[in-house]
Amino acid sequence: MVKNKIKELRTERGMTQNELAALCGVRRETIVFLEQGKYNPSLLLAHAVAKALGTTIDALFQFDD
Amino acid sequence: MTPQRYRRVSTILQMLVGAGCGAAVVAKNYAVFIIIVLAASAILLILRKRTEGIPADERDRETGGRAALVAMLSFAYTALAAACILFIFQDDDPSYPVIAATLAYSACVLMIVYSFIFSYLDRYRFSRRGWLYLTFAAGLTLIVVVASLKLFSGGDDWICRGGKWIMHGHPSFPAPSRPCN
Repeated sequence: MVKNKIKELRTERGMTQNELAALCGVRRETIVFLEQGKYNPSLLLAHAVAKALGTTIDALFQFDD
Repeated sequence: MTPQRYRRVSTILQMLVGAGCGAAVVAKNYAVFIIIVLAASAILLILRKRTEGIPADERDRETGGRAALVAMLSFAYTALAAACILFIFQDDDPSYPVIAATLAYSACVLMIVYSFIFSYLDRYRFSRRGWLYLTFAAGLTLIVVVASLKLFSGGDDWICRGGKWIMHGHPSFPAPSRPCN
């Protein structure tokens, strides 16, 4: 699984899971799974999340090479 | 309506449709069967349009794909196992082989339809040949369904009339052993 900083950045920005989900066009449950690292998003969703959190995909997701 | 409520209503409606369609088939009232399916589809469409927020996203579609595969395989294996059992006990009741054949054919049709749709989505979805492939698959499915209905429509059967079992068409099984009243 890919590690990510979604929860960290979302909390920093004072955003709720519902708000982030609405900005990304997904259900809140999907944000929960993303934050827990249980779901790998598509490139489009990764881009939407990164944009909503004001960061880049590279900064948001860490790949174990 | 919230997406959660929509999903709950949708599940309950699907259960009701299953029960209603089952009862309609048992009663041999196919018009009611079609009306139930069309009415349920219309209700679901209206409810979906009235649902606020996002009813489904990419994770739901991925999960839905896996669920469809598991559901299809579960049905296919169960239907084939039931068909084998019914074929083994075919001497107990003349209707068993017909039910077994229906189950076996429905499992085969389901797997063929799945394979066609999978191939279409996998190879031709983004190509110009996509529509051609889809039309061919739809035509073939229609032919298989019509042939199956013709084969198992119950046109050839034994009818109870005046206390006697009368042959209707050319049934492939002997007259029922139960009394005809």
